[in-house]
Amino acid sequence: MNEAGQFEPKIVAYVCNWCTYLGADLAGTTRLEYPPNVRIIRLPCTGRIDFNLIVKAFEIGADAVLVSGCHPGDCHYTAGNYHARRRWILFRELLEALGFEMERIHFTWISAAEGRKWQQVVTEITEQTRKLGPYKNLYADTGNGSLPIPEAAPAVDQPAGSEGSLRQRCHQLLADGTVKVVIGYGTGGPVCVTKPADVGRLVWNNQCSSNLTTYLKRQEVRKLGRAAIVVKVCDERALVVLEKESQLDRKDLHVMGMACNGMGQPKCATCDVRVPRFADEVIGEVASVPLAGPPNAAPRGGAALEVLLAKSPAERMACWAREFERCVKCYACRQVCPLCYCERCIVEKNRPTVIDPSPTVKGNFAWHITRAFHLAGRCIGCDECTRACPAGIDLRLLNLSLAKAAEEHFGYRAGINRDVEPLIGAYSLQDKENFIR
Amino acid sequence: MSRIGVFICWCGENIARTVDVDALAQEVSKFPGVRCAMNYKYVCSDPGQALVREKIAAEKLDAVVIASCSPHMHLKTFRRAAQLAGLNPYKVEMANIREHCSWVHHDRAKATAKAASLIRLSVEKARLDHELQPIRVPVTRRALVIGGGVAGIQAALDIADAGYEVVMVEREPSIGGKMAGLSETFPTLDCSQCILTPRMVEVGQHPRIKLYSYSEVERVEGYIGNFTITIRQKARYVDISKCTGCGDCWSVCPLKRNKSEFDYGMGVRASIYVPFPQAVPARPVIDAKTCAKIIRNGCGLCEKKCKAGAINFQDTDKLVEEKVGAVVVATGYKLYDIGEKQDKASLAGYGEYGYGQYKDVIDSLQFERLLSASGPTNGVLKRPSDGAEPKNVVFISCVGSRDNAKGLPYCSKICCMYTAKHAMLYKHKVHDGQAHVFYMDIRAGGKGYEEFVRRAIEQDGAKYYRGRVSKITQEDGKLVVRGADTLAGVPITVEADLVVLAAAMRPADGVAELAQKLNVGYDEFGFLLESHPKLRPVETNAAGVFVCGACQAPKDIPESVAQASAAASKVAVTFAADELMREPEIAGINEQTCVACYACLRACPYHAIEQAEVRTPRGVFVKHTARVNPGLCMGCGTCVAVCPSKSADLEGFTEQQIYAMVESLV
Amino acid sequence: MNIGYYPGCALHGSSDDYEESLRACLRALDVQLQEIDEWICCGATAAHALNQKLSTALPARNLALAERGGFGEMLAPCPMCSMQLIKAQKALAGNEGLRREMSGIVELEVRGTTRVLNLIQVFEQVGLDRLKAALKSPLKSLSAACYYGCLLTRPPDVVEFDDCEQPRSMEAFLTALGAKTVDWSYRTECCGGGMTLASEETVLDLSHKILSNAAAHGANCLVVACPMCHVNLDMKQPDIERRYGVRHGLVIYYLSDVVGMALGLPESALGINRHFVGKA
Repeated sequence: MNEAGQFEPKIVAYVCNWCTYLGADLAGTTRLEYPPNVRIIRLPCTGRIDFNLIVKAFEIGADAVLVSGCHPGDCHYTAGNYHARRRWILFRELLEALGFEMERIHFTWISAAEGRKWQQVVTEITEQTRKLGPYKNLYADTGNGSLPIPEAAPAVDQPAGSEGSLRQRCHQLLADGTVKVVIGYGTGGPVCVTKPADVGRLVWNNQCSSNLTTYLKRQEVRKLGRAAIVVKVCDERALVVLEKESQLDRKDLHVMGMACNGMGQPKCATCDVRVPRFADEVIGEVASVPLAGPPNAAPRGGAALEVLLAKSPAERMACWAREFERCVKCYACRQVCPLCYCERCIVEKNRPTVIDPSPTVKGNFAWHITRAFHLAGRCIGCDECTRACPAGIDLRLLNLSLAKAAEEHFGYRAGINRDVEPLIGAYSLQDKENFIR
Repeated sequence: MSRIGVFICWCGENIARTVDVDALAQEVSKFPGVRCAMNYKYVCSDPGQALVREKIAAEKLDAVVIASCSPHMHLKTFRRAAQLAGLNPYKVEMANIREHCSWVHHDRAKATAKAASLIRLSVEKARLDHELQPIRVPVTRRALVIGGGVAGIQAALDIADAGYEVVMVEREPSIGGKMAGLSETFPTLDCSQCILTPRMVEVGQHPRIKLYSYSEVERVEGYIGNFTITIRQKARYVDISKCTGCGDCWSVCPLKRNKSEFDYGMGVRASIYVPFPQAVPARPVIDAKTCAKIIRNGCGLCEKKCKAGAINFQDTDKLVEEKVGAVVVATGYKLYDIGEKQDKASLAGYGEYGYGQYKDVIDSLQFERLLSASGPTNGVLKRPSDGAEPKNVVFISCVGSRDNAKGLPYCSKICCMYTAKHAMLYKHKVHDGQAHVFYMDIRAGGKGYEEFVRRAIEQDGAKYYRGRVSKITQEDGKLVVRGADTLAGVPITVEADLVVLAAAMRPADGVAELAQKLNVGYDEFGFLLESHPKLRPVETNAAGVFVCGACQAPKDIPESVAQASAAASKVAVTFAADELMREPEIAGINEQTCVACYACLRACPYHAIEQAEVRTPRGVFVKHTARVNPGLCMGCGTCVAVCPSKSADLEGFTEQQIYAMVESLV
Repeated sequence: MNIGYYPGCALHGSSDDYEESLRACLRALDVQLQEIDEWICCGATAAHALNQKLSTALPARNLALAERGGFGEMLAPCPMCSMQLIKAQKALAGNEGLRREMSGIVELEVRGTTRVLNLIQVFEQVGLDRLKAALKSPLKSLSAACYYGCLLTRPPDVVEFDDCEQPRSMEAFLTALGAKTVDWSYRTECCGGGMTLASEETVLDLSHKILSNAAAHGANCLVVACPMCHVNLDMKQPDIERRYGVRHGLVIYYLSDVVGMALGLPESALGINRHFVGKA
């Protein structure tokens, strides 16, 4: 508050050194006045700005955040701002799904010659934020909404005879030494079968909903030698992503693709491809489901996501606050996810502490935001994280919102196409920027 | 525990007027890590720097924060000062409390509070700065000059005479630029080609200048001292090593009536042509858009006639690579496209004065060709419509310049002078002619310039009316020019035989694409951005890339030549060192935590990250990792942002530093 | 086609021959004109010289009346009226504060949603093809100088109609209807405007220059789209001839006159017989 009792907004600006910083300098040399509420943090390029910085600024009490850099095509480092733009497109969708007040986050392109634009932008943002008031709703549970319950698909039987064929094939593969271990479904959970005689432990029924590809990142399993892995088509997508990210070599793996009629899970309700497409062999046949279009076309959100997005931002934030309240930071979601393979996870980094590891509201939000964003364009929708969470947090909804964004903005579905480059780390000159001033 | 020294500058009055520097020093001295805080009138001055050095020694400071102007101004100055005092130069940070504070806020309390906050940010950053050593890279002592006009020629000759090789790329078939097409130049009325062609020949014959004419820069890779330039040599269809320049080909070419680009449409040329007789290289080029042989396999007379066998209709564009250490951009200008219709969006089209409608309304460069002794009319002044000698010529200044409504807001600088010159040259050719000049102001600020304009008025009888022209219409073969004489307070109507429009000066076409290839900034008009308009007029923010001439801002020949020599001297400075020091604020990967997902490799704009392996000292493979090549990394930090495990980090802007800074804002 | 109609004082006063002409012509083309109920003065030159607010409020009231009548488009055949109406309409459409203020002053809600057209634009909406199809008597005897006056095309940012220096929209119709048009230099020069009574010499001088240039370029008539210009060039023509001792004898047609003639309507139905200068 200033002496007049007027609220003085605190605004953090992450700006690039070569364009916007110089633009602000120019505003200074030409003596263009603007309100003193902005604190500039100078970075070499907008490409350096990770979303964590934006979240951190709000966490320490900023009422608005401005991110500004060079116009597309003018980046001092040629492409940093293109990468940044792509991340911003996805990050904004995540923040919207979480219920952040999007009027408090601003993205602009301001060049070194646009001193006047800097002045105008800062003045407008300050006044706008002053009208919005202090940001009190961050991570606040101020409503009485709850997350929609996802619709489940009916449970059906798997194709008859698949189980038998699977056991037969695995017996052969182990016996002739093609593989040293089969990672498959057992009665009580996953099994690693190393002896041909034990193939009877392998099952294939409508309880086989988990994603076994997560075991491929375990050292204990790798040590066993060349593996065969039983996958449904949803699991196979993880293999595609892992291969694109240099985490596995397809030659080192024997993929047993299982034709699947559905496991009665929410994700099955929106499944359109029932038969793995890149497996070394496919077992079983299903009645083919006509595709609505090419696999990259139809949105996957499902009804639950639509219900969430129809709520007001404050309601959404309240819903998530209630969900994350239950989180105890067990990190089961991370352990079970096939795509969380970092040996030193970012939450374990402590110089600096990017994510507060404590199971508080702030720590929980920070963790889940980070994990969701790290899965942007990578999450394959296997829903294992939701299944594994002991607190019953509906993580799939958060990941789905980003998957929907990836599809809508970039026509991208993780793990569907082996020839497409990963979403983050690439950019297109056509990436939309209607939210960037 | 850190021992940071904070030095708050008054900057004379610039900061001290608005920011309470004493209170600020008091407050700042209480920040954690700050050993001492003081203020001084001019920290960047000699005594100011001496003060900093003393304090570093006396207080055993391990980092320094200067709270003053923008780091773009003086960071290098203070880094050098720290180094002299034995402190690693990368432990110096600056808080911008001038451009970002005292110059833009007037409330003393708020400005002081903001200044404290900004200093706090820099203190947090300085606390976590690492001691870094500059990276040494070799330097290729060759320069690239883009553009062969008078500025490019001057720069190339200076650099070559200093002993370095120069690669010159010119997109027209000949060097010479706009100056080669002028008749006489102000204020000396030297024949333009007479003073330029000896220099053009010098460039063509210089042992250290490699000239790529009819070529363009296709791609630029690398960084200062180590650029790799890909040049596209456009297909000439004439082998200039065999061609003797005898001229048989263009005399036998049946298609002689193509509009000549060199004459700006005032004259004609054949489909195989040399743009002008003094061209360098003096070799022809075939215009593929009009040549009958190339279009429909007809004719071919030139090939039959050529005794040297130099014609080659199978010629194609060729890509050539050159390695250079510095680049000078001298791409020059073009005239504002006056046009028949107004087109504000593309700045093409004034839509007035009948240009394009009436043949006898021409622009200034077209008039130069009519005046030129080697022009389409051999220096005899004939008007385009009927070849008659014009007895009344109207010159209109500021067509498209100084115009917020429909043109460009800036002044094109040279038009007042060349309009006076035109009036004089016209009178010298048509003794009974009358020149009428409609002007807004007369800008004649150079040496001998004012006297020159007076001569045009007093000796050569040019009539100067201070006022604009509202409309030009045609009656009975005369151009009726209606304007105003605001000093006399009357409307003026002149019946002219010829009207010459002083069109605005704009950067040449294609400059935005070239600037993006070089990482050089440009303003909304396309003029290339210099590092600092007052103190660094020929450098750009891309290290190793310099600008000179009209591509940076409108200017005349003496200024272009001066800037070109300035750029050449900057190139010489770059080449003076045995090795170049690269800034060490680059990225690095923590190979212990990296999981080799290679998101960084994909994202890096400079392809500076490679796949690598971690092995034990005995050579046993441990793991895959990503690794940064310190010679290529430019320090943008994109890799840091995409790394999921934050194994990538950027010196000078580390994760720890940025988070510490943000958290200090609570 | 059904559009609103704002005659303005001229068309109901001294230039009611213009109204007669355009009503007959447009009726023949199946364009229904509905006069705006209770319209008031547009302010013309007087208002904006005296008071900014007044110069916006007067047209604002008329726009409000048009909106109340449900008109999306409105013909204002006098360029002074149309220019003031368009200027007010644009200002209102772009400024909420102004809309509120004006709505208060004129005591009627105004949103600035009605598009104001001049006569040429109405013909453009009818379309050249329809006109050519309805052509009965090609205008073979006419060698017309199309005269736009100062207000039809200016200020360019306000009226956004045709080229402000070299307009050609009327020529397109004349050519399509079989007439010849001349290329001349006084298309948009001032005729003297409202100075007819206040400074008659100014009008005589300027209008004389216009007529002379038209004749010099081979015109045997002028085509205008402004009642004020018509008065200065037609009614004042005998005075001009007397003052300068020349014989001009140029018929001044309204655009609706020539279109009507081409459609086969008799001159009396178009009010042509009421002009001061008749055919030679």
